Amino acid sequence: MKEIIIVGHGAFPVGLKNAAEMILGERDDLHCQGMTEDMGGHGFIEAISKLLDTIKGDEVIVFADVLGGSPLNNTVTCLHERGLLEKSLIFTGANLPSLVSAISNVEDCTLTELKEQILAEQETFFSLIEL
Amino acid sequence: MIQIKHIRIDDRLIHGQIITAWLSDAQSNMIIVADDKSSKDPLSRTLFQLAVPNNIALEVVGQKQAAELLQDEGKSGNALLIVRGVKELNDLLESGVPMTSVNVGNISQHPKKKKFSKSIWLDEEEIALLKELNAKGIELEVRVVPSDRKVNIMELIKA
Repeated sequence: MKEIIIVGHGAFPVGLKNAAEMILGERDDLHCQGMTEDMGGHGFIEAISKLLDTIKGDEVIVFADVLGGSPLNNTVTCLHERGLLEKSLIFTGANLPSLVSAISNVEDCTLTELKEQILAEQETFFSLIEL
Repeated sequence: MIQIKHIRIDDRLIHGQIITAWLSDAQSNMIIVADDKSSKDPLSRTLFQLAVPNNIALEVVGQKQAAELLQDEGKSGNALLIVRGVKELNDLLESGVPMTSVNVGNISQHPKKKKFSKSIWLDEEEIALLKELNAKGIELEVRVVPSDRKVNIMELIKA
């Protein structure tokens, strides 16, 4: 079973999860963890560790807000400590279309298929609209 | 030779605030992470490398190796130097890294520490070390991002 985890700064992860569930309905395999200002690095590590220890799935898809951010860095470290890195798919630049695509395909695709699917669609996730 | 443009204490080491704000504020083209833990961990190194823009050089060394790196005639750059905490900063000073001013950024929440600002939590040992550093004439200014108003950490500790 695959689990999807959104991580990022502030309320972005909870907002993105909420937006995705408005479109696709509530899901048990969709999780989020934000790093709030008062939480700092340690607080986030505690929270993401707790989340990783409670999920049931053995494969993880991570949607992180930015490359180089502490939420992503700490999540990768925590996945590594649990031997989950090899069974993870990690994206940065998370947005609603990419997440919706992942959720829509998560049950029918292997991790490799999901990766190919999302990479093939990625130009449609962020684009200029010319009217 | 490497010139140090800015020294920062930040237990998140390289992260968004560093890449988006501090690098340009410090007019740096190099980041030095002086941290025993990261220098021994290939995964941390990989994550830092991913985070750092291509035109910025990255060095990850142990705290006590930073002084050697700064003496290296073969390397050049204007560096932003980051350490994890107060103890690590003191290691740098003891190994001969010159410093007149240090930016205290993030020293995050811990059950055994007391809160001094939204980004600074300290224990007794750290407070004592900070007082020593201050007595040596090193300015210890608290700012999370460059546009924050500088606050001397001694004012927070006294309050």
